[in-house]
Amino acid sequence: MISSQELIDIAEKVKLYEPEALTRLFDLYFEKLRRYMYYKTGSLERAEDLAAETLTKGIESIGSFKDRGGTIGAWLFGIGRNLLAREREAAGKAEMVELEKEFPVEEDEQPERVVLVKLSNEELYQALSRLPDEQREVVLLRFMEGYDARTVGEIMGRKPGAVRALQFRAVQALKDMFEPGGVEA
Amino acid sequence: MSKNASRRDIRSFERRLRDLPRGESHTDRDAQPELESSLLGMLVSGGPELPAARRMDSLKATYVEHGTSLREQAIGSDAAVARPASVPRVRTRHVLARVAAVATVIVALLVGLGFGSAYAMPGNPLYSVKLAAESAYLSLVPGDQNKADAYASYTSRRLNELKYVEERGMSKWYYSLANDAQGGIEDTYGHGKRLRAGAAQKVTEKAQALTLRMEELLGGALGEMTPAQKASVESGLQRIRLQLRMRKGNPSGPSQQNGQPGNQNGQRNGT
Repeated sequence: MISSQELIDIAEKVKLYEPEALTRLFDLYFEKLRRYMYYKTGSLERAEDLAAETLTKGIESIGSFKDRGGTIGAWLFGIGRNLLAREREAAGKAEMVELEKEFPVEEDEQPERVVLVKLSNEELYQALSRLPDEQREVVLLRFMEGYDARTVGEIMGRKPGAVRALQFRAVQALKDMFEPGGVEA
Repeated sequence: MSKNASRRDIRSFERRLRDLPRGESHTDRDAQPELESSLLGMLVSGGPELPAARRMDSLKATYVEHGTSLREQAIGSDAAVARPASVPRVRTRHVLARVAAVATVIVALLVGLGFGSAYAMPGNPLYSVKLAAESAYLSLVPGDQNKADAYASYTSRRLNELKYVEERGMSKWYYSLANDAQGGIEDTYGHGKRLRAGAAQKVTEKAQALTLRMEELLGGALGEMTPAQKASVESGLQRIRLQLRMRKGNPSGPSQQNGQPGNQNGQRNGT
């Protein structure tokens, strides 16, 4: 787990475009952003592009970033979210996206491992895919990325109370899906 | 999180969910922490694993290359230091904005205080503010005509205040107000005599009128001053009468004959 101080240092060095800091920022956030983008877009390829684009936009506008104690990650997620919103607005698409029917697995995985991975991820993936977009986003940011309600609120442009309400509804909905007779993967 | 562990956690999560109460009694307070804890345990440290990014290396290379070009641009245009330096600039702007805001508030308070104190009478805590505001205004007023008018106006105020304190028996104020009023009359005359004949005459008449009013008001007050104060005020009045060429009880003096007020060493008429 990276410390807040380390994140502050990285942000300061990124402001100077120090190559090592740029690389470190990419390594720290590309995968997180890609996963977030995947759950938002349902496309692995698009998720990769959007994650890289978010990081690129981030270093272009790093001068405007004001650190409030290791908050560069939340700031990047905010950029990514805006990027997606603008893209959807341009395409005239609704917020809700359809995820792929099955959770994607590596093609070169061994057959038994593929089944195992599909079993393990499929249930949660299917459950998440059925959540409304904002609830899914809260689950991703709160539980997968580990941000607190206040930070998630900053990323989503919502108040912490609204985030907690979305989180409550999301977790309730997940519970319903896992209930016997509920929507199973 | 390994895939086996992930699967195990999901099953555990599912079991926990099934064991939880449902229905109307299922509230945020009793159910959420456990649900969230299960979800957190299942998702934290990576959550469901996506297949490895196929183009990560090339995307990373492009990103780093872009960062390097940004660095070069910044150095080339002196903005490398400008980027980080833009933060201090922003801070400087914020500091200036704060200073401006504080200054505005102070000015507003001072103006408010000035207006608020305009009607303050001796004994009021704002009275000293009123005098300070007058003094500041007098130092800023340009030209002898304006200064003469301002001194005349403020002397009139002093005389009103003298009447006010006399009516209330506030004897400790008598001498200072009389003294201020005398100074005001002399300053009025002093600026007026530098003006052209017609304007100078008008100012002199104003000063004479103020002197007469002061003499009227001082009737009872002089008796309550100490002998030294009384002597000082009386000699001051005599000096003013000489300057203004006044005879006691008659503002019109010989100075009106030539339209010019006398000078400080002027001829003595009257008294």
